[in-house]
Amino acid sequence: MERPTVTAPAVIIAEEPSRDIAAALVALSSADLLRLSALARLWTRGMPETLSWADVLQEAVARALDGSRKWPLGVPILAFLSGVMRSICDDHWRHEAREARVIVRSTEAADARADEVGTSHPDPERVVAAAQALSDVYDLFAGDNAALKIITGLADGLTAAEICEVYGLSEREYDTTRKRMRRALLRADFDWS
Amino acid sequence: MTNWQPPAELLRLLEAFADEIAGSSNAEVEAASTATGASARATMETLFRMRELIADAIDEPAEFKKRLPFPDLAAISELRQRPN
Repeated sequence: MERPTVTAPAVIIAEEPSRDIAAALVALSSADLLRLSALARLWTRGMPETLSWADVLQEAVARALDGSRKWPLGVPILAFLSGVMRSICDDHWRHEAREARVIVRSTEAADARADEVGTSHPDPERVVAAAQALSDVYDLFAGDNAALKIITGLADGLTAAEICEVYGLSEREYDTTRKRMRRALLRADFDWS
Repeated sequence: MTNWQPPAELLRLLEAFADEIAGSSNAEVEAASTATGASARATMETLFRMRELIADAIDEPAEFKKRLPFPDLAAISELRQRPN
């Protein structure tokens, strides 16, 4: 049975402190470039239309090249850039949240409320956005019952064996479905919106 | 609010998807890239865009941009004949 996390073949990893990000980028195969674009689309889903996956990837590459994000030893470059892109997208959402708070702070009465929200509870808009994002993920595989079971299991943090046991999937059905899901995620015309 | 994080459920899913993508085999990438004529065309566009993006970022000579795309052009040409 396949494990939820598998290792990519022929990964390019950092081997010494002076490793060259640029050389690693140039050495990426076409398959790696497609994986990287798929990762960029994954982390950028739900972002404003003004910010494309290519923008986020470009920023991630720029941060890696200028050294503002260090490439840890032993980490595959795809995993590293994936993490940078995720961080960029998280930063964007935090920035949006701060902007919203600044607007709220325009009145003294609202100031107290903003502090309260800021210290303890997420704003309703973000909660709705998160719920929408989760719903979008399920919608991607609507009609594929086995995929939906696996997604639910993954979201609950279950292992492959636990997902099969809880949802009554055979190992073969599980593996076939994971392969189907993986192909969908890798398609360059896969629509996250 | 600055410490707010998306639900763990969503994060686990996205991380699992990222692992799926990063851990995919070359054969799976190729299969996904040629699943339909539309995906093959999108793959070609994506590859050119990716090479251009990286080349621009590292100021690489044009040779990098012109590297033979994947999958091979013959396969793409054949796929374009198929209905989507």
